[in-house]
Amino acid sequence: MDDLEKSLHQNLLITSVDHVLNWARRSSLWPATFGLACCAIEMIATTTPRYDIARFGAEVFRASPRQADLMIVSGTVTWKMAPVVRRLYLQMAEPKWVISMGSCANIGGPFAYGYSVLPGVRLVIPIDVYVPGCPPRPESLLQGLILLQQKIDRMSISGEREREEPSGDFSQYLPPDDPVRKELESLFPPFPQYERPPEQEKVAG
Amino acid sequence: MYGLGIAKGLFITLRHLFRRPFTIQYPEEVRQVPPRARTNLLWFDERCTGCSTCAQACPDGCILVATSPREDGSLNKDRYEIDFRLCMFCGLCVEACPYEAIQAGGPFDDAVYVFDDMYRDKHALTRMARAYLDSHDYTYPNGKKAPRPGQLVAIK
Repeated sequence: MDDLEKSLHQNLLITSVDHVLNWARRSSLWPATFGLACCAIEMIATTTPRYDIARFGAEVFRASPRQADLMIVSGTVTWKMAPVVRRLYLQMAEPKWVISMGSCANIGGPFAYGYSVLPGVRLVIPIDVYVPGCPPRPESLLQGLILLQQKIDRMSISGEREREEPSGDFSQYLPPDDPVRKELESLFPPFPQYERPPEQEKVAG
Repeated sequence: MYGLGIAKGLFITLRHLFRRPFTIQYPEEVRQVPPRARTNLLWFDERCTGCSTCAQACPDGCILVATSPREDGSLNKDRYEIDFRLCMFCGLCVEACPYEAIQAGGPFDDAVYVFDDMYRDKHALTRMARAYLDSHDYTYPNGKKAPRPGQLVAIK
């Protein structure tokens, strides 16, 4: 960070704008309606009156990723689902945040050494908060949400996001001619054109 | 009579207005979980003998125990690590442990920003256990009393 940026950080106007923006962003985190496996049941339980995620302003589960700020990846991500998760993430509007919920989304869980499950959704999308558990109790998910709100509070419009971007390199997981790998690599910058394999014609009769 | 059903329904709605609130305000108050619930694991250094039964019982292989023998025949725990990235909280290690050194019932505030923070070594696990015992009047999750700091105990 150079001196100009440092002085920008201490600017009174920018800090006030940051304060208002961060307050608005952290108190209206709208998650995408998106559940993959059993963790989704706990995510739904978090929205029920007993735990009430609405206390944190995050109860409006939007049916479209274009209206959502937060993606809660709740459950096992298979290789077949991985391009879909990446595409949904790309469709969300900036600024966007991701919570990886449960052991399956974190590293693959009990399927970590399997052939069909993505070993950690962090290979596909950048993750802000990890919530361990199998599945995590609603309290743990709420704790993750509180951590995310604290992280948003530290954000600045002149600063960078403090999270790790995935590399987009799947060479150690999938063979080079794999259609899933080709599709996944087409969803990473510089976004090369992906040609779908030709569909087989239906045989008459 | 016309409208009786509506009146009955509205009466139920009205009755619900005066009930106690249902919500548990999580960060301030924590809901009591059943004693045998499969919650986060706690490992107690003073109870563990390093026998590695938990590591053999773990279906994921997320517990790592490395020991070296002492002169009196007991084991020195060089490493004791639980990989909470991989752990599926099945509680088989809790059932397997003959000394009740690993127990379910830990705190819920285990979300992290950094991926590798979920890998907890001996010291991180001991910090978690100390914090739990400090806030629970030195009682283990299974209801037994724990030794106070500085108190020596022999576990048979």
